[in-house]
Amino acid sequence: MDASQLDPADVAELYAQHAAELRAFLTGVLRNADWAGEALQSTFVKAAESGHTAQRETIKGWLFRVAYNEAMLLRRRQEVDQRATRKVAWQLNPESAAVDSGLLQQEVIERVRRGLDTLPFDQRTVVRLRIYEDKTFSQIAEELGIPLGTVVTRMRAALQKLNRELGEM
Amino acid sequence: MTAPRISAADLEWLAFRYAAGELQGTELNTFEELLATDERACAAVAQAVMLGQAVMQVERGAAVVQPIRQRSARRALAVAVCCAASVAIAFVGLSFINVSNKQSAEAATKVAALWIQGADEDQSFEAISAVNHEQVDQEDEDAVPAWLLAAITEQQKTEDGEEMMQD
Repeated sequence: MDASQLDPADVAELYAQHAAELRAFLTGVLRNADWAGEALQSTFVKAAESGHTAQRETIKGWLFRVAYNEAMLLRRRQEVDQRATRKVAWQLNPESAAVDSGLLQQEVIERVRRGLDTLPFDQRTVVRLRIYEDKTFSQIAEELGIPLGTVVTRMRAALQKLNRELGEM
Repeated sequence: MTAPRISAADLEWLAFRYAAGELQGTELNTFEELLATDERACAAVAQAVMLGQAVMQVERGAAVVQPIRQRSARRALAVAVCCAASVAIAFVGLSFINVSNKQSAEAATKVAALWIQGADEDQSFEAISAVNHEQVDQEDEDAVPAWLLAAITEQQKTEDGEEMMQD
């Protein structure tokens, strides 16, 4: 093994710690579960090859940067304009994130469930319509008969609460 | 990575809109430039995606569980109605049996009394016949109806009368 490469055990540890978050990030950037997986693999190949150059305290930032560059390379390689065909990131394959770390994902789901339960009915309705039913804010405003600004305000408030719930992990 | 100059709430909001595919044009390019350099922006996108996926799973679960609950409630109601109907049918059936038994007992008592009193054979026969007719009417709809018996009896009398005339 090349002395400049990371130890496989270290790579495995990095994978266990960051793969789920990186996959989610790459899914957000690429809106394609397969490409996200491919970019994730490339990222950890890079980590094995040159991860030793990153300092431990900045390894997460380094991984994000490498992942982002890999995603951009992958996107450029595609002939089709992905901005026209990309779907909403969470509509792709919600189970894919659980492949890397099922326990973490379960915890995320539990926390989000708890967070959703504490939301006021109005906010939860907007969250459900926007994320689960994939309706635009304009459609939601029309459906609920409320101003667009109110819908956005409710969504932002709900997201803040849910993110706070997740941020405590 | 450079220090973020954007508030956490705004970053979360932008990340959500980015993951939802809502950012367009300059806004999109600016945010992607931020992603190339800002770890917090990357983490916010990752969190937005995980949040969206988790909401999908929770809502999907709720959407699946709800009809099952409704179906269970409907099934429980159907079972309750069936049970109530069964009990009602059983109650009505038992009532009929009790009535029949009571009538049979009354008839038996009547016949026994007639025999004991030494009544003649025709009387006891009539009593038994009357009781039997009542039972036939109430218990067995397939039995020979009373009007048919009456007609046969009438015909029998007529034939007997004709025979006597001939004699």
